[in-house]
Amino acid sequence: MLTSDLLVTKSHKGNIEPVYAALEQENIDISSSVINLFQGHIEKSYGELIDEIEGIEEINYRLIRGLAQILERRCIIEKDSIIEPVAARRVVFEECKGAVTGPEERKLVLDRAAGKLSIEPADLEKALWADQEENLIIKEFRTITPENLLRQYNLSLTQTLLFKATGMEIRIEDNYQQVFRKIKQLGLMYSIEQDKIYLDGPVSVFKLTEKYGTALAKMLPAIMKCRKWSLKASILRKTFEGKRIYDFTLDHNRQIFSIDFSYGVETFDSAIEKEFFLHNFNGWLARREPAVLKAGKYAFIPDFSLEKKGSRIYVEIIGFWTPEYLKNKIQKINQLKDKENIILIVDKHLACSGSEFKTDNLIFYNEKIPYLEIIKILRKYEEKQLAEDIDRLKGIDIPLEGSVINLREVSGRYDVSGDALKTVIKENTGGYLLLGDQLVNDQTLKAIQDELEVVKKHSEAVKIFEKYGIKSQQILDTLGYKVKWNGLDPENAEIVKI
Amino acid sequence: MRLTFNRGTIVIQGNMRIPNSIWDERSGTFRAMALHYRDIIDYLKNSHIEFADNVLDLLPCPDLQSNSKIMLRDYQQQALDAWIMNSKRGVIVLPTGSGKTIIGIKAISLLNTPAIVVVPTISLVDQWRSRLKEEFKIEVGVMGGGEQDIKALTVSTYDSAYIHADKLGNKFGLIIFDECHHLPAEGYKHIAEMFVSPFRMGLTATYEREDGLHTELNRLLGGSIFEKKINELAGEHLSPFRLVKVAVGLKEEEKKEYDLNQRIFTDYLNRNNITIRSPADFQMVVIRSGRDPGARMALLARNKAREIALNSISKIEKFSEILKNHKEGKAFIFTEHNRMVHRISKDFLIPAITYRTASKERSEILDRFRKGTYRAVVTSKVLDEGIDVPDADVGIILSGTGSERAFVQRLGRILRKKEGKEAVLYEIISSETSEINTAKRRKKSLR
Repeated sequence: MLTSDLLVTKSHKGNIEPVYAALEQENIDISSSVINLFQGHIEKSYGELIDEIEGIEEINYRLIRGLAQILERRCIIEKDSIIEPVAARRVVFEECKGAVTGPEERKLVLDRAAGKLSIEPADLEKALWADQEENLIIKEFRTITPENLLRQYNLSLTQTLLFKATGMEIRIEDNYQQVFRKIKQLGLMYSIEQDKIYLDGPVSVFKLTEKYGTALAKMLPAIMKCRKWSLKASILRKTFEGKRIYDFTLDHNRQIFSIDFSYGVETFDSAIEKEFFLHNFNGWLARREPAVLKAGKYAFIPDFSLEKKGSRIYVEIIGFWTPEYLKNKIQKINQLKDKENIILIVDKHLACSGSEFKTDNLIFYNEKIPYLEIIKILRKYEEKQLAEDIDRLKGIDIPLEGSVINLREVSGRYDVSGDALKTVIKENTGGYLLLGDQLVNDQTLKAIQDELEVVKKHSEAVKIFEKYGIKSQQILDTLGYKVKWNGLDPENAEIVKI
Repeated sequence: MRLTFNRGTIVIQGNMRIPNSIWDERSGTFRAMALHYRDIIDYLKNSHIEFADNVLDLLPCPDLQSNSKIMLRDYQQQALDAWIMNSKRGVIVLPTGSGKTIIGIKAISLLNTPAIVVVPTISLVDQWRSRLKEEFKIEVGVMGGGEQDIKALTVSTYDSAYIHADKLGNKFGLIIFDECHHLPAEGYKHIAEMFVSPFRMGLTATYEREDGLHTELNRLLGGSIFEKKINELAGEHLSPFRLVKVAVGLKEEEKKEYDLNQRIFTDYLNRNNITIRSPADFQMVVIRSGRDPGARMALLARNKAREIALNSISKIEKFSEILKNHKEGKAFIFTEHNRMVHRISKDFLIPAITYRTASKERSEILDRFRKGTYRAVVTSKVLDEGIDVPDADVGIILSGTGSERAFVQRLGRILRKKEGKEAVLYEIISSETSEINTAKRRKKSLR
């Protein structure tokens, strides 16, 4: 974050954006000269450093001041004097009482004071103002690469602009828990509309206010930790024509910061959640904090989703709890729109009866995740989904063309499970034969059969199948052959008509 | 109907809209600004609507009535009476040095409720804290300058009150804004809006603001309810004073340098058809300097010219002369720039106070000045407002901002009543420079 006088922006047609420092050679050169100035002033006075910075700031005043502001935070600055300046001043002023009005008088006073302190007058003179900013000494400086300094600068510019935000709309696809924890911690309010989360504060409902700008700026790191994110903030600016609201938009595709927040390291609230995440649920894929659901006026972020072929089931694990927490949770869950699509896994030691949750999918657990029961519920969904898919497919006329049809492609096209498609196809194959996940037409089968007549080796037969694009081993069986293995070498295998 | 405090607002649960409230989709309730708390309660009571009021969460408060030995002067009593008559709301306008703090203390003792005093500077925080502690013999909380300590009596800076209004807004029955002309600023306004405190007092020497925003004080505090001008009090309660204006010329070298720089600035204005009539016009140039390198050069040149005028050698010589003439007096020296403060402190060995001076050293310097251990102090903006500096009989302005308010407040610093004392205020300016205009503007407020 920078002081607001160092914020440079450009605006166009109602949009505003900070003037970022691109990672180009010119900026990298400027960045590295400012770093070098700091580096070169270790053990020298802060005043000298400032003078030098002022000396070069004509190149690009705001950029250079901005970079310096960030670098200052990487310095340890101390005073350099043999006695405390405050004490030195006290003695001198006591000695002087009023004011001296000439150099001789001044020298006399300083000499007397130095005598009282038992130090040299020159040391006293130096100590007297050693705590003034320009006389402080730079003791340490933690350096940084020019590129990283520019990145930090760009991030700081963004946050400085957000100070002036009256509200902000964000879209994120993961990391919900952290984002919402941050919202709460910063005292912001939110409203959710589809996948958009709008952020402002209690007073915002009465008037446009920048009061929450600082909090909105502090949201940025949490938002940037999401894999995919975008934000749109309303920025209040004073212009020649009075106050104006501008839009500021930013998303994960902008490469101005590319600051590594090292996401991807999964941390879990409890061992049970970790265990859940790592488990395999019959082809259902577990995702953490997959969405933010609207539960009345609250946001509800389920711990996991289990996803398979167009179905998405939410899972909430209720382990550690307090009565207050539980009450809250029940209230939230009961307000969910899609209650039927959530599985609750509740610690057995929780003293609440199942009837308080208005949902069927409630499983109690005792120390271990009850996989079998979960899979049982998932199977219910699979069956339900299967029935729905079959129903849908029955109303559709699926055109069957070509010699070999891959059912996976077809089911993908109609967004149904392979099982559903197979079930429907089986009832009417119309000139095709179902072989594993493929349909093969009668002519092709006939052609293959003819070619097999002159083939003895299994490997040659496989080549024929590959030529026609057939994957299933079932075909030999179907055409009335079996494989005769001669020893361990598959090259010696032969096919034999039964 | 149920009323609760929610981060600077009042949440109203019920099926009826009350004046000053609006429906808030986010919470599914009605919501009102904390500012309207008293009006809402009055409305509900007058309309015989049943309601549960969970808004106030006052801090536990010791008895503040008991040992109040404060004696108010007649005009102070009148001011307090006017405030009480106005339902304990409103702004009292009195010159600096006329004892506004004591009116605030009396109001706290009278209401006997947790109170927060909001002030613009750390020095005023220190001053209010020690006065309250002395009067009520209790520990006083402080918000600001790195401290965050909330007690039944708390003194806060405007900045801290702004930042923490959402948490503190329902903890105090009385809120006092010292130097309340700061309050109508865009951000600070939130403080008055986010506190529910039914009783509100504003104190200031200068009610009016150059930007006209003082009209907001009606809504936020209850408007001006008592006013006494400096000439109505001078002589009777404040020391009479004499104003001496000294114009000194620039040395030849300085003059050349000054003209050169001043010309760069005026040339820029002429080239771009800009006329400077008000601070707002000037601010335009500052805004332009963000994009336009010419504007930035012009500004730098102007600053250089001003610096030459402010730091002119003749001025320092004149200053030295005045000091010699008042060897036995107690002198307070004002100058706008910290560099100048340090220069004077260094050359003349006079204790200096700037906004950077730590509060401990600042109190020590002021204390020793009061006692007479030090007979001169040089300072920049930090003492612009309200700090008690009794017994100074010489004031010297070495440079100024040209703002009327700053001048009145600075003047007030040496106008403490003392037997048979005539205070002198010197104003040293450079002739033939734009500083003359600044001085003219300053004097306007004396008429």
